[in-house]
Amino acid sequence: MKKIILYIALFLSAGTLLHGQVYQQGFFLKDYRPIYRINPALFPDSDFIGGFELTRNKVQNYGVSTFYYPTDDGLVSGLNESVSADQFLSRVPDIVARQGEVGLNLFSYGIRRGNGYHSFEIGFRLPTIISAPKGIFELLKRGTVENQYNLSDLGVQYKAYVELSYGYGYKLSDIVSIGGRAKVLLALHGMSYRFTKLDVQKSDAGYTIYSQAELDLPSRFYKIDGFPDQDINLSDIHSSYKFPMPTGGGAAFDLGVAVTPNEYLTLSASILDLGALAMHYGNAAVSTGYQYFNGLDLSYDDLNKNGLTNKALEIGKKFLDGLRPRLRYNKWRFEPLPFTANLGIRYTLPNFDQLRIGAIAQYTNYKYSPYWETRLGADYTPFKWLDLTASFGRGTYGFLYGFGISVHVSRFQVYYGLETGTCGTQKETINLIDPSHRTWSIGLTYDL
Amino acid sequence: MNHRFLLLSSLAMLLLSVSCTRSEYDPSNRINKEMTLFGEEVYVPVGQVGPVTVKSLLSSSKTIGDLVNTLLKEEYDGTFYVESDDAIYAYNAYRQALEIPDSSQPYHWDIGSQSGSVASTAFLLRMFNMGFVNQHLTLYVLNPITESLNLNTDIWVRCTNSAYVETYSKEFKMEDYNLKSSYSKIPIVKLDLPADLTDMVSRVEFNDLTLDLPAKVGDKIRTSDDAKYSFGAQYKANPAPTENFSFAQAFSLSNLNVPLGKFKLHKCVLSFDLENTLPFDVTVRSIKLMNKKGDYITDVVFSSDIKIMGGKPGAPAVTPVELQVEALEGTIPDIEGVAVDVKIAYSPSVGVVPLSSAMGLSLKSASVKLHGGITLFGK
Repeated sequence: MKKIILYIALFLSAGTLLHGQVYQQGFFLKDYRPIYRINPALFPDSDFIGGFELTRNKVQNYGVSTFYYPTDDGLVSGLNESVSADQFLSRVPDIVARQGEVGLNLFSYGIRRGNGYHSFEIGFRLPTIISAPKGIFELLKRGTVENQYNLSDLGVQYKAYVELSYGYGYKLSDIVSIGGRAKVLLALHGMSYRFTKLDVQKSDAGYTIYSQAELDLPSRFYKIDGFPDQDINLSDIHSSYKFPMPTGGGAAFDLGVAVTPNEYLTLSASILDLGALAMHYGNAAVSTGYQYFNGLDLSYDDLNKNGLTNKALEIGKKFLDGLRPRLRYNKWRFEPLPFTANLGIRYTLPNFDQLRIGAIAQYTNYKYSPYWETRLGADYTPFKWLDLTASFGRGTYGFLYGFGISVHVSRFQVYYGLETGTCGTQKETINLIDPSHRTWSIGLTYDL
Repeated sequence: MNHRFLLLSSLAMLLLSVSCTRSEYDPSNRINKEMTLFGEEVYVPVGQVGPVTVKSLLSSSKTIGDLVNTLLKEEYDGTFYVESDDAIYAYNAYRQALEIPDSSQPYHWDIGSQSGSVASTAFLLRMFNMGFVNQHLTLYVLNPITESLNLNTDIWVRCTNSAYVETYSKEFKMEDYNLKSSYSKIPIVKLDLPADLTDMVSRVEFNDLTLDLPAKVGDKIRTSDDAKYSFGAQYKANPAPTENFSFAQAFSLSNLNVPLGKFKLHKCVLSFDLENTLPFDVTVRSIKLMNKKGDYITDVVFSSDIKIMGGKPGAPAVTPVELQVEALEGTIPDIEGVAVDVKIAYSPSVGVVPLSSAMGLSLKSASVKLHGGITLFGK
């Protein structure tokens, strides 16, 4: 019987090609020390310290397959004539976005005191967002068949901040645990340039473009010289050479509850990163206004190759000048963090405690592409020093799977995990083929 | 044994998953980079183009400019005019003095009837059925002696149309007309021809021309190597297309070398309001493209019979024009030349208006619509 269950679990794992999901994977892993990151009501049995854990998370609602199509004539882009507009545009999301985060946990410390568990962490986070509206691709593919285009949300953003956290989990009873983590966020640096509004209106007279673009450079490293409402050039941005003091701050909270009806079954619910970050954009700039393109207006002297080129460049320069940001001081931006909600269940087989199975569901409200997933997972400990876990499920972008591995040597524990969809990557590149959520993490802990 | 098997299985699956690729998306396979932008339609406003004036065209082509400048001159406001100074009759004064039987006596010189044509350059323009307005004619005499002379003659100024049928004539009788002594030409008739007359002055006749010369005229000839009795006509007029002005012309431009083929264009529609201040109607009867061999590209068709109304400065004619270029099959290939067949004709709605270098064409609210996209990175 044990073997049958074991083989079923492995079969399910094989179906997932043994990939896993790191944060969730920790939920399945037998001895994942910083499990309180998934739910602060869950905590390990031992005290530990950890450091230099690196996590990279990437959510992109597009992939190579969004823009490229395999044909008998080779790989063609969606802009190839052989791909119809409907076929191409049906694959392109409303906002093409890639959101990612690199997280470096510099130090972790967990200590058990009675029925409570304290955790301290110092980490560094670098979230990034690149976004482009579908309208751009529609324009390129179909041309100007519509009279109005909304090209808002074209932009690139990143910010860097330090996260200091304290967590406390407490066993209310043998069955119920609760926990919470408070995080203090110190913003170090950031950059954002995005079109909050970019409307293009076509008429017989030409195009009217209303744009509102914001450039934010919250940083102590740089300073933009100039006066309020003055157009800025790249040459106006100078290093300030000041010690990088925080340029903003924020707070976030994790809350969780865990129910353990018996020693084999654990139910978990948590909500993570409820909070916001306020950054001081001392170097904020904005450009807003209408621009009109009613034609090249060519004189007789312009009717030659150089004349036409110069005229086109002149109009392009005028357009770019219109988008040029103008200084605006003393601006604060308050941005909520994308929160995550988790629900999980895991079960250790009573007669075969080397195997644990479970399920977990997650929802994260990323700005441009909210992400959800549910997955079933199994964890197997063939040897005391080795822990393997695998999972599969469905998410926003379809089928997904994950794996994790944890190796114990003496009191050290090294873990590595990857969770992804069936997107795959292009051979010899890191380009994801399909839209996907992908996370990998690697870390080292030491039991005290 | 079971544990090892499970471990190896797990690791194998892990490796498989890490190397998960899909061969159809393998970038090392062939990638067709050809892309067609704006596949359905793209609208490009061009705005105003021009004006392309006669003056700008003449200055851009030295050959044509020089040719026109030999025929025409420009008023300060750009209005073209023809001007000529033609001798009707001239006779050397010394020779004439020698021919007098008794030079000590006054002499009644009967020159007889003399006639000649005027406006020699204007004749060239009349070959194109061009008419003339604001015609001014000055008849003059050059008196080579130091005393006044009496002139008697019956002058006729005649205008004919292009078929050489007389359409206007005017007589001036000169009886004992006193020709004062002068170094310069003495105008004896100044004529502004009727405003509605567009046929040019073709002939001037001095009938029964006599001069009463003083005694010893040979001693009174003004010292000059070229002293002569001279009768001539100065003519000035503005050329203007008139009722009979009409010609059809097919012309071609070659060596254009426009490499459109690689862009795979299907159809292009140019729309504009053509503002015309040229005082004649233009009909573009056909436009044909030529390939490198010089053959017509029959697969690409243009809109034909595009009519452009004539106008004039201050009252331009505005004609909405839609010029369509379409590849019937396939796409528009490389273009080496273009052949245009046009007909230019007098515009009844405009009337007779003198030609000016400031006249020309300009496009207003011009736009281009491309249908079927623009292909880039093609083979």
